[in-house]
Amino acid sequence: MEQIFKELTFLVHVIIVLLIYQQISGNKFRWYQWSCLILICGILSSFMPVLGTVICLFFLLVYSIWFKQTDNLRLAFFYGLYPNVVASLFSRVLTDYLLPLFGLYHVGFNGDERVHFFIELLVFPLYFYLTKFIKINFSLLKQGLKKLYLNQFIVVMNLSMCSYLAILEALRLMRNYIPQAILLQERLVGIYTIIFLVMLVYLNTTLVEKLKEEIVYQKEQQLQELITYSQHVEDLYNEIKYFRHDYLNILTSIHTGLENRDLIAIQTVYDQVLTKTKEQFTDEKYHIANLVKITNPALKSVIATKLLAAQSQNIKLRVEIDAQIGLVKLDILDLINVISILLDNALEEARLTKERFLVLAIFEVNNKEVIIVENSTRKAKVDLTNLFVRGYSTKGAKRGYGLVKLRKILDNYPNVLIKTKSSGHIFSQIIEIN
Amino acid sequence: MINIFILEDEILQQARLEKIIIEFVMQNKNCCTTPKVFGDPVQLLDAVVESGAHQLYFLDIAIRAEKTKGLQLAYQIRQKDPYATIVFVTTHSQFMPLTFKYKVAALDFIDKSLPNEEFAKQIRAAIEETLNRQGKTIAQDAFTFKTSLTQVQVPFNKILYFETSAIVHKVILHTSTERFEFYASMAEILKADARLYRCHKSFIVNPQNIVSIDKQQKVLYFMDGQSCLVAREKIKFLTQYLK
Repeated sequence: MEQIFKELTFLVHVIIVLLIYQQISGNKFRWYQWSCLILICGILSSFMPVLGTVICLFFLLVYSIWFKQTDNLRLAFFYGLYPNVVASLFSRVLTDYLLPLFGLYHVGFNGDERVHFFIELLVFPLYFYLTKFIKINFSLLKQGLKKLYLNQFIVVMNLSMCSYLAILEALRLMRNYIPQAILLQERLVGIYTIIFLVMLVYLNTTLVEKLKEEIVYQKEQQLQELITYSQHVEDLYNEIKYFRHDYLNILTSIHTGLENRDLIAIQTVYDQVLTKTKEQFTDEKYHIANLVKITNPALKSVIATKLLAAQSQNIKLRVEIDAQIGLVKLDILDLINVISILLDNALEEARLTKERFLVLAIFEVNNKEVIIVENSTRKAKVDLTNLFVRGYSTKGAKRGYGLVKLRKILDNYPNVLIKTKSSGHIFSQIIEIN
Repeated sequence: MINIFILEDEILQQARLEKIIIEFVMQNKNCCTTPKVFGDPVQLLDAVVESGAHQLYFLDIAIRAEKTKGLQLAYQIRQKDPYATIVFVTTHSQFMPLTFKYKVAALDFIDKSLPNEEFAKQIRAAIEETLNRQGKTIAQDAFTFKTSLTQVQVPFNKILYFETSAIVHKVILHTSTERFEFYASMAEILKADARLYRCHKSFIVNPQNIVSIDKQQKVLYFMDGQSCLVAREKIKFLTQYLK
């Protein structure tokens, strides 16, 4: 009877640890992984109970680091340690502090296994509702952690979690040699629970704050870009207004010329005035007006700002936007980042060339949305091998992060492919969205 | 002998284009048949009996009220004939060379509003380019790869190597001028063409394009300087191959 409860307790412990892992890291286990893990743990606990707990401890660490291949080792450690620490803290707080208030005791290994099982069952709900109560926002926490905002603090947290687990385990192993072992354990749990919760709250508050700051900053950027864009549109409108005014005058002159059958007068008007107008309106300024066909205002203004910057640096521009294009298959922030990076790179290179041109084309074909950014290059052909590798740049040392970021963003979209071409002094980046 | 077709609904423009082409034909005997002019895309399509690189089409994009009629016709021509030469003759405001090049592999864009001299020059250049293409073999040795998700077609002799990417089942193809990705497994690629060789866990190469092997560094070099890794066991085979 005792044995069954012992195994059930262990089983529940494993499930709790896995659930907490899923919550903090966002890596979900699939149903077959669940069954596999539970089976293994079940077997281990029957035959080698001590080994079982140790494996449980290390499994998640190993899993995070090895299988999930997060670039960030610190984060992997965090994901591995956090669930174990939480499970340990909560079950011990319940055992040592809360349940004794109700007269339920489970002291060391001599206690009632049923109580132990009962405690394990309570751990996850307690954790869940407590964190809800103190408003820990796990989804934002996940986002913030992934963006590596508090990298150094994570190291501190990792060290503390490591120490806690190590000391706890040491005290448990040495319980026969240290008379006060059990008491010390209780003290450790008490102190560390407070420290841990404080760290968790700090983590949460700071990450949420930083994320909010980032959003505010982006909104400000967007506003600025929209202002630039509408300024540009107003300028264009003014030009058209003047043209309209002149146009009416010109019509009058031509009318007079026709009445008098004065071909020479009409010829003069044409040569002097109208040909100039043609030049004006085929001016690249009006190319930017093609952006009208992009429905998303944020995207529109970002592109406009970059293109206007290009124009001010005397770069020949061409904007080809084919019909109303929605570009909804990508998250708008990602889309803006991608196009910004492509345009920035194209601009930087085009500036340094003799030909100085830049083309942006966005269109749809065969149910694929395609974005092409083309620019002139100094070399006839650019080496494409290390294009998306961190730290590689034609612009000098310590650069080369734009395309890496682009790569990272697009890796999240399995339906997006990148094609790169370079020959005849023309470099093209083609993004195909299926 | 190339066949020239013109799609243009404005009489004046029709005449202008015809005149330039007929002059060219007179100067270069027997290069082309008399150009056929159409104001209506359907009629043009009906008149097309042959297909191949000797078919040259000059298409206006806006026909009567419809702004993209010419483009639609180009699509239809391309469907029947992947090798025909298509040139768009259009006003500057509809200039979308990159877009159209991608969509229908158009050879060129010529601006109607150019002065006659320049306009004629570009038309003649287009005809000459088509004549040039006649000489080349049409059936190219192409590496074709088709799955439910992807369709890839590249001249085999341009392929340098394939590389695995960090994403599962995404493969990157490197040629001397391009780099692009598509979904496939390394095994499927090897199956697609017997000449390809797997020289490393992450690389499949086209041995024809290898110029040298650095045995110390375990690197293969291709003709334009690009390189990839090679596994120790595979060096022997490739050195033999190079001899």
